[in-house]
This record gives sequence, C-alpha cells and structure tokens, in this order.
Amino acid sequence: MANILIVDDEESINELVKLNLKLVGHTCDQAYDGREALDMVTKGPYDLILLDVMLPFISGFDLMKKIKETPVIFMTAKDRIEDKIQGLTSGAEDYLVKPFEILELIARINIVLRRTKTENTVFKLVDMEMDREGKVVRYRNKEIDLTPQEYCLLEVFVINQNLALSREKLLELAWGYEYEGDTRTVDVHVQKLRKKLGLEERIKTVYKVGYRLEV
Amino acid sequence: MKFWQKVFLSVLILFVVALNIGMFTVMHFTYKEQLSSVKQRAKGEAYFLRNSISKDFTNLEETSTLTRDKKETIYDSYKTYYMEQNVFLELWSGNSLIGGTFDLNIESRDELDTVDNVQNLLIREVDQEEYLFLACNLEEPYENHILVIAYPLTELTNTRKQLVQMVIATDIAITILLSVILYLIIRKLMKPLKRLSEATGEITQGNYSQEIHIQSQDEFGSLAKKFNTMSERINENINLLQEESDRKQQLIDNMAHELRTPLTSISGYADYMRMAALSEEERIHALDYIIAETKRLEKLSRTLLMIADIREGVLTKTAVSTEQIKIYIQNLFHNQLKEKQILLEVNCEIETIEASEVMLQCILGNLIENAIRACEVEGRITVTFYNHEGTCFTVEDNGIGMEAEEIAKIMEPFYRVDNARSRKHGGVGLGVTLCHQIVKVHQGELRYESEVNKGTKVIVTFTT
Repeated sequence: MANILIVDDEESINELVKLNLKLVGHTCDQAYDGREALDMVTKGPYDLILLDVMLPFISGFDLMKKIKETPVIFMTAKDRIEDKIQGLTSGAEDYLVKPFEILELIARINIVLRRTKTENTVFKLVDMEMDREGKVVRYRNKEIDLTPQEYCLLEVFVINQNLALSREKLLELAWGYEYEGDTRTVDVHVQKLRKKLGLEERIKTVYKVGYRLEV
Repeated sequence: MKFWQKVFLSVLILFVVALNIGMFTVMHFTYKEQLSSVKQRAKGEAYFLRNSISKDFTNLEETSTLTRDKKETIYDSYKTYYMEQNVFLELWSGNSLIGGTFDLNIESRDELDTVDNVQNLLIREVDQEEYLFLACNLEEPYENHILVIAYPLTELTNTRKQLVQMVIATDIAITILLSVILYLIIRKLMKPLKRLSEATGEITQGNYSQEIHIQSQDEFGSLAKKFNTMSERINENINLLQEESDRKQQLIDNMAHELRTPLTSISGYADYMRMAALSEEERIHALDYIIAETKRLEKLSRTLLMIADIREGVLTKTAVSTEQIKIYIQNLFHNQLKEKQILLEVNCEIETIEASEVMLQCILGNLIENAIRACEVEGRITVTFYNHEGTCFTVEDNGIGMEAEEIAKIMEPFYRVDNARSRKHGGVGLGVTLCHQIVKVHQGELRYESEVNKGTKVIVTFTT
C-alpha cells in the first residue's frame, strides 16, 4: 500500500516494525543510523518515514530539518513533554513513545497516509473490491449494501490485514471506546461480512485470540 | 537610618560641639582678660583718687579747719571730671553722704560694709547694665571717709554680645558648609559600598556572574576583590551543579531508553507472534529476538547491580597471580578470538598484582571485549602487566581507534562508540563505566590513548 522508511538504530525494533508493516501490506526500507537514513531519504521517494530520535551520527531532530516533503512519525523512548513538543513543532505528523503497541502504530500510519496519500485506495481480495475513497464495496462487480458498522469493521480488517485482532480490540477500533456493547456484537457482524462478501475462507477465527483477515 | 547618614550626623555633631566649645572658651578668656584690665584700671584710679583727696584734705587742714562744705567742694572738683569720663563717684564721711553722682537705683550697698583698702571690688547689675563698684577708705587720718567709684561695663558687655552673635553666625555658616562638603565626601566614599550592595542583590536574584570594578586600595577595594572571587566561585559551583544535574538527567534518560528498548522488542515480538500467521522459520526468528532482548535486560540489571556493589562494597585485595589471570583471559575469549582470528598476547613483567581478583577479571574482561570489538579480522591485542610508579597494566589493540571527542564520551554510562555493532554483541553500554568504578575503588587511574585507524591503548594504574 505504501512505501515506508524505518529509521531505528535498534535492530530488533527496526525488524519488528518491518515485519508487522509487511504483513499489513506496506513495503519497507530500513536504516540503522542517521547518515544511512539521510542517504536513503535523498535517493528514494517514500510515502512515510518512521524516525527514531536518538540515532548515531545524526539525531532524528536534526534529520527532520533535512526532510522536506515526506511525512514523518517520530517513534522514540524520549517521553518528556519538551521532546514531544520539539518533535511535533519540527513538522512531524505524529510522535509515538516507546514502548508502543504495534496496532497503534499501524492506526497512526493509516491516519497520516489517508491525509497525505490519495492514489491506490481500492483494496481487492478474491471477488471483493473495496473503494475506500468512495466508501463503496463490490462483490462480483455488484455493489453490496453494508451498514455503516459493517463497513467500519471491514475497514479495520483491511487496515490490519494478516494480524489477528481480539474481539475487544475490534470493538475499540470499529465501534469506538464509548461503545459498551457485548463482544458477541463483533461475532454477529463478522458473520454478516463473511456471508455478504464471500470471505468465509479469508476472515479466519483464531483460537483464543479473535479474527484475522488473511490476504 | 543608613550608614552614611549615621556617619554624616556623628561627624557633623561632633564637629559643631567641638567648634562651639573652642569658640566659647576663647570668648570667655577674652572677656575675663578685658574685665581684669578694667579692674586694674579702676584700682589705679581709686588709688590715685584716694591719695589725691587725702592730700587735699591734709593741705586744707593745714590752713583752715576742714568743714563739711570744704570737703564737698573738694569732692565736686573731682566729680565733674569723672562725670565726663562716665565714672560715678561717691564720698562718705562715716555714715553721711558728702556727695554722690549715683542716680542709679541701687537696693543694697554691700561694698560699704567691707571697706578696707582698694582691693574691694564688686560687679553689680543695675538697670540691666553692669557696673564695677569699688569702695575704699581714705588715708589716715581720714579713714572714716569712704570713697566709692562705679565704672559702667557697657562697652565690655556690648563687645561680648557682639562676639556671641558673631560666633552663632559663624557656627551656622560653617555647619552648612561642612554639611555640604561632608555629604559629598561621604557619598563618594560610600559609592563602592552601594555598588557592592547592588551586586549582592543581583546574586540574590540569581545572576551569579557579577563583577565589581573598584580601583581604590582601601577596605572597599579589597572587599570588592574578595567579592569578585566569591561570585566567580559561586558561578563556578552553580555551573558545576548544573552540569552534574544535567548528567544525572542524561543518565536517567539513557537508563529509561535502555530499559524500554528491549521491553518494546519483547512485547512487540510476543504480540506479533500472537497476531500473525507465521511459518516455523518466522516463529523462531521472532523467538530469537525475544530471547536476545531478555538476555540483554538481564545483563543490564546484572551490570547495574555490580556497579552499585562496587561503589558500596568492601574491597578485599589479594595478591593475584598474573599468570593465572593470563590463563583466565585466554580461556574466556578463546572462541571470540578464534572467530575473528585475533592474536592475543599477554606479557607478565610482574608476578602478582594487588587487587580484588573478581574485579580484576571484570575490568580486563570488559577492556579486552572492547578491544576485540574495535579490531578488524586478524587484528592484534596486547595485554601487559608491569611496574611503573605502582602496578600497571595496559590493553592495546590495533583496531579502528577513536577520536578525541569520543574518548571523553566513553566514560558516560550508556554511551556506545558504535551502537548497532555493540548491541549485536550484547553490549549494554556500561563496560567503561564499570571499569572506571573498579579503578576508582582501587584508587587508581584509567587513561585512554587512541588514534583513528591506528588503535587504542588503555592504561590502568593502581597506585596502592
């Protein structure tokens, strides 16, 4: 879906972010220090840069001054309010403090991408087609009538494709924090989606976890 | 009241009092002097008159009898003359008055009771004017006759009044002049004090870099010099404290980062394994990261504990055999050295070294580990134990070396020369800090000599 540059000197974290982003459909490049990152930024255009602050050679804040147009999300262990302010006032789209949940990172990436990236918003899977810009879902070229809640749930699945989401998480992401419904609501909606869009084989039930849209 | 006001007032009062005492004393003596000269003159006059009148009486008696009328005539001849001189005369024969020019309102005539000779003087105030009275009896055989002379002292009292007025006028003039001059002088003298007080105020406000320029060599000058030294010291200390607190903050930041990073990884990979459908290979890949990061946390906590232990623990030194240390090192790094084909050479110029064995192993382990990391494949590391103003050892490598700035930084906890590479080898960034702590409890010294692309030499000296 998007081409993302991950800059973090921690190999394990860099790799973790890459593995997850790959699962949800992004292509990733990795840089482990400031110089390498600067090099890669000048070479290839990226849709988004995930940037650590404490980096060898060139710090994330300094690097930020050299990045012109690409949107940036800081992900750092620096959680002091001064650092946050500095990060956000330097022109970054978002500031994520470690340790963070990967689903949160994915959600924030999507928010940024929806704002900055316009093309390629149609998602296809088997016979299903989802136009996220027009908010239209087709199955076998026929427009399917989805309730707003079903549409939201489908969008959550698409954004977090290949990741198993708990019923609680699905409630939180698709219905919002305020919703106080039962987790069985999720089961009912998942059943409807499977039936309407022929996704019985794609929306898997993961034992003891929840549901996963496999792409 | 301000200090300058106190000084001003005390000096002024003291001066005015002294001035007045001086002037009035002079005045008093002058008056006394004048009075005594008047008295002298009166006495002379009286003496002469007494003589003359007595003689006149004698002469007259030789030719005729001395009647009261004749006495009056004689008296009158003198009276007129003395009236012109503004001197009053009176002549008594026993208790009856022969003649007198006193038109004064005198209540008592004490002088008449004590008549003997010319010595009897009396000053009396009549109608607000002072007179000098002098009474004496005539010479024998006329001793029952009394002659009284009164001199007015108007001139003298007038002079005295004028003098007093002059003194008061001078007093006021001098006091005003003095106040002005004194004010200016004190103000000028107090200026450094004002400056000092202002500077102290600034320091209280938190502006610690104050400098006062006072040229004078007096107490203020030396106070200003001391003040400058003091403010400089305070400034230095404040800066030191600031640096120290910055360093502490940095340490806490780093520590949080060091703890958070492996935790983020661990929870992240665990989450990833739970959420994603993974192949066996991917599963193991993720698990490897979890295990490695857990080990790193463990090592971090172990190292931090060790640093705390070293700082607070008791140092038990023994004579550690260098040969044994040599064997220990070679065994410990056998695999790593083989892998990178690095040659480790250990020279023992001394047989034993006074130190805690565990700590010695720890410090050497850390230094050699760093040396191996710095070395390229087929590098060379030399460890030498020798004696030079205390027991020393050096760890020398021919690796990538460091720049001078980096040498200063490597002492800082969690600083890594090459972050990515160090982490891969499981470093926690506390090695040099630990070494430093160990050397410190041995009251020793740890020094780095390094040149980029030539190599690094660590020199450790145990002075005790």
